[in-house]
Amino acid sequence: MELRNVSKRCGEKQIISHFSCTLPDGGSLGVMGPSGAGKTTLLRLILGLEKPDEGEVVGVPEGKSALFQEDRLFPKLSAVKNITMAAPQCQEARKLLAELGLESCMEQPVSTLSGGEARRAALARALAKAGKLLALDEPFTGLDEESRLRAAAVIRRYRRGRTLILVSHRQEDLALLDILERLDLGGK
Amino acid sequence: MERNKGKLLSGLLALGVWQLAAVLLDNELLLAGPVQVAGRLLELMVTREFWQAVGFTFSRITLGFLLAFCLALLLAALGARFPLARVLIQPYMAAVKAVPMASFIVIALLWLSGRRLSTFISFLMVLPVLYANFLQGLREADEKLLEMARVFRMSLWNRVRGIYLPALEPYCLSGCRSALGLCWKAGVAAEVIGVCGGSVGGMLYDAKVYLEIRDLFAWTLAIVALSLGLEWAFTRCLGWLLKKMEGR
Repeated sequence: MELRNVSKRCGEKQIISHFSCTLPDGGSLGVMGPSGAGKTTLLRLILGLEKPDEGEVVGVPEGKSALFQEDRLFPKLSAVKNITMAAPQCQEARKLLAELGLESCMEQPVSTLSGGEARRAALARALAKAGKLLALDEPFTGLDEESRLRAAAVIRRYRRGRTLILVSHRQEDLALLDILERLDLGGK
Repeated sequence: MERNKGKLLSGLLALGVWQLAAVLLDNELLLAGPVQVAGRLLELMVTREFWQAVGFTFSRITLGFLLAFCLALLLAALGARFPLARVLIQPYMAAVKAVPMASFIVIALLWLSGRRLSTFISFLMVLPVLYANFLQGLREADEKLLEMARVFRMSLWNRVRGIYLPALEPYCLSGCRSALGLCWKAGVAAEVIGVCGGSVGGMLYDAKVYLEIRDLFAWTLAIVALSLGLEWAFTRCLGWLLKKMEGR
């Protein structure tokens, strides 16, 4: 996967300017930077949700799954149904949710879950979807230390050779997921 | 519970006012009281003609409503998906809303028999109401969920049940409530103007011609009950169906 001389503007603000990078199949990349540096925009370009103003994004794997900045769950459905709607082929939705510590609430509507529980349900959905690219935007938001470590272990276990892009503003998150390749946006 | 008690009390009070007005006026050619009307309705309800008229009108108005429901849903889906379709559909909906119902009835009488008139008029009157509600609901579909569905390549059916139906549900139910009341008013008016024999509207017309005020009120009461009954049953069935389709 390659981003060639990509630029993206949002209104008057230049978010990304003449940016290039390459990521091999099955590789992993940590995108770091302060708020407003363009981390999420970069992810949206890779996911095909936005088109670059200049440059191109090529070689993005066909099967994609993502954990967005917001949970983007179907609020009236349970965590299990949220997974089966997005990843109908997944046979291990319950196991995955249990491993993320949601065994007691996986059948209740996600609108009734706490912020941390909903985040883990959204993470489970991203992991459940088979594909070649896994994009995670701040996956540990709202999780306490124990849940964070547990979620990181589940991500490592269920990554299954997929290309991984992690967007985070915390250096420790990269180490938790064994990501060596790091990309800093917004200087520093 | 308190709300229901309040509704019951206000209803009883309205009946009391009606009865008092009938007693004070003391003229059966102008106003029949609720007791007399209820009595006459019960008398009518044991006749075959009553149920034949009710069946005739009910089936035609319900058919008009269901046809409008299906077409409005189709047009709203097109309008929500293609802005050009929305622009092209708009003048027709605006015309149907602006033209008086009586004009449509008179025009339609030239094309259709009186027996088909109520279906056509109820269809026509509720079409813009349902279309506007369905379109609004579909346009309220959560953009962020739609993006998620694109990334996950969710099937069209799962997008419909997970994103579009929940967005559509409140607009669909409130649109149907308004439309069901309207289609009874429009359908019966069409039967009265078209002098459609053997229908509820035809019975109303006869009551007016023969100055049978108790019949007029009794048939009106029957129309209100039928309209409310259909609204209650349809919205509950629809709510249940939507819930099942959404997988809740």
